[in-house]
Amino acid sequence: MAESPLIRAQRLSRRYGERLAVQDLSFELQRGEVLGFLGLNGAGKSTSLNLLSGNLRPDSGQVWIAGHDLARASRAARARLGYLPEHPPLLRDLRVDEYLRYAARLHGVARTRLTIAVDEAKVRCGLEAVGRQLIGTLSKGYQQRLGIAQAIVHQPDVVLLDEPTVGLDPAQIRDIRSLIRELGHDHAVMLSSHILPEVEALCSRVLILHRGRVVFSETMDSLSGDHDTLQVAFARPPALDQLAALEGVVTVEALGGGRFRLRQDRPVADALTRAAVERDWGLTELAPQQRGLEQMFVELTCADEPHKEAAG
Amino acid sequence: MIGVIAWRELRNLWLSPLGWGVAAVTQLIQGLVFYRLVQAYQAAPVTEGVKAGVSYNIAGLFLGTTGYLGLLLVPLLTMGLISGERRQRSLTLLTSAPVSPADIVLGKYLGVLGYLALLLALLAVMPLSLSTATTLDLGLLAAAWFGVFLLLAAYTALGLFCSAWAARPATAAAATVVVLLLFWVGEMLTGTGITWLDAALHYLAVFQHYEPMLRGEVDTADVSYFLVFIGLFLALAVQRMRAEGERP
Repeated sequence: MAESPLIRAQRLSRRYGERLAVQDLSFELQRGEVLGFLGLNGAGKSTSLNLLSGNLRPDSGQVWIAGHDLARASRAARARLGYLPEHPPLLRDLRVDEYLRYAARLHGVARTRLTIAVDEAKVRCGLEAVGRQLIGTLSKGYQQRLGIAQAIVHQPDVVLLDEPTVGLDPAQIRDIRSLIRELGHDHAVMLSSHILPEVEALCSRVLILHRGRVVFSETMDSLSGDHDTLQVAFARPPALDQLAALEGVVTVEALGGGRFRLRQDRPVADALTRAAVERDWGLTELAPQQRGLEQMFVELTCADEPHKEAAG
Repeated sequence: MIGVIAWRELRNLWLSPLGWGVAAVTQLIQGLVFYRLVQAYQAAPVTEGVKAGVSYNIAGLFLGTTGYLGLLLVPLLTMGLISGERRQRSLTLLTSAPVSPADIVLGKYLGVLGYLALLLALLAVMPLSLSTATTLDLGLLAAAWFGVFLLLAAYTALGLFCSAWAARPATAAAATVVVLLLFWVGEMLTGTGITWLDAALHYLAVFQHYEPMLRGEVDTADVSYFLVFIGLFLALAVQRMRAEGERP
């Protein structure tokens, strides 16, 4: 980690009138990291990305992009930044090629490198076939891809993606996810989402935002190391205490319909399957649960109604 | 960067039905005006063996009409420049790019100006065609052309400013027309008896500064009037673009 962080945000705050949209957002992001911004709708994800991309001025706090102060050295900072906003900023009357060339030129790609840069962005986003097409006639999925293409056409150090897979079909989602993973190798990528599996699959770190505050910030590794929960289901479910008696089981929770959630302090899968066969419970399901993100997310974002900190 | 944005804007007009429509309407109306002017000139009496100058009576008046036509057509060209992009949500492409608010405003301004210059160049062909039949005062023609260009450039600056402020293109167009009309009819309000107010109204009236150029008189005071007008509204537009980051 000799390199300085590509994004450094320090105590960013922004309010809309009385409502506090983002409060005290601080984090750093290095090259090679993919950071997921999770939150319910209205948690402040888009506002945060707008602040980080320089499209919204913070009430207080600072952002550095690759060492350049976004407020003072705005041009240098923005040149290193690619941004896909919530609504892709497409010019519907242009053809895909024209649009990408324009976006590249705006971001300072030299005229001589233009064709290479545009072709590369098109290949990466799967847009080769539609280069001559008018943007207004593209399907939602292609428009979304084009939105990503304009964010990466100038090879920025930092890529900010606001809900990049929204409106895509499953095949496209898979493509875009592999693209984001690829981008994560040599850029710093930040994406917002409210789709948990997406963040789990893509991100090396996650920030959970709730009512404008960061309520959770952890690396994915530290979460996935947490295989301490098993979900099991039986056709002929045993009594709770029979399960609790198994070696390694800490607690058992009945979920109804023959389903149980087991907390373990050492792996119990082996003992459990053996017991299930011997006693004829009819094991139908055995799934290790990444106690992790989903549980964490639900606990942090749904539990605290009525909400205590007043906006004022 | 200004050049990139200006070129894009010019291409947009080139690609849009609006750009072609405005060009076609202008050519049609101006063609009719030209025909009428030539007809009227031919019918005009010869007094004391001298006929009034063809350069002003046809070419000057012809280009003068463009000034009125521009009142309606320029707002159409400028209304969407910024508010249209804001509505389409494509403005983020510019505001996220390493370009300043001034780059955006000047780029868009110069793009439209390029289009207007082309349009006026095409219009100039009509009066110039008279030189096959008579000797034209090319100096007067150049002055008149320059005057119309300055006038349309001033309209464009105002239109761009309105587009930067308005939430939707139609509002921008309406605001532009209304303000332009005020600059045209402001002169009628003179006669208040308050000397400084009359002088101010007189000075602000666009016509005062535009009409002499149609007769071939280019006065630096008049040129400055237009340059200040343009500079003021462009600066206000830049100011508005700076504030773009303040609102959600």
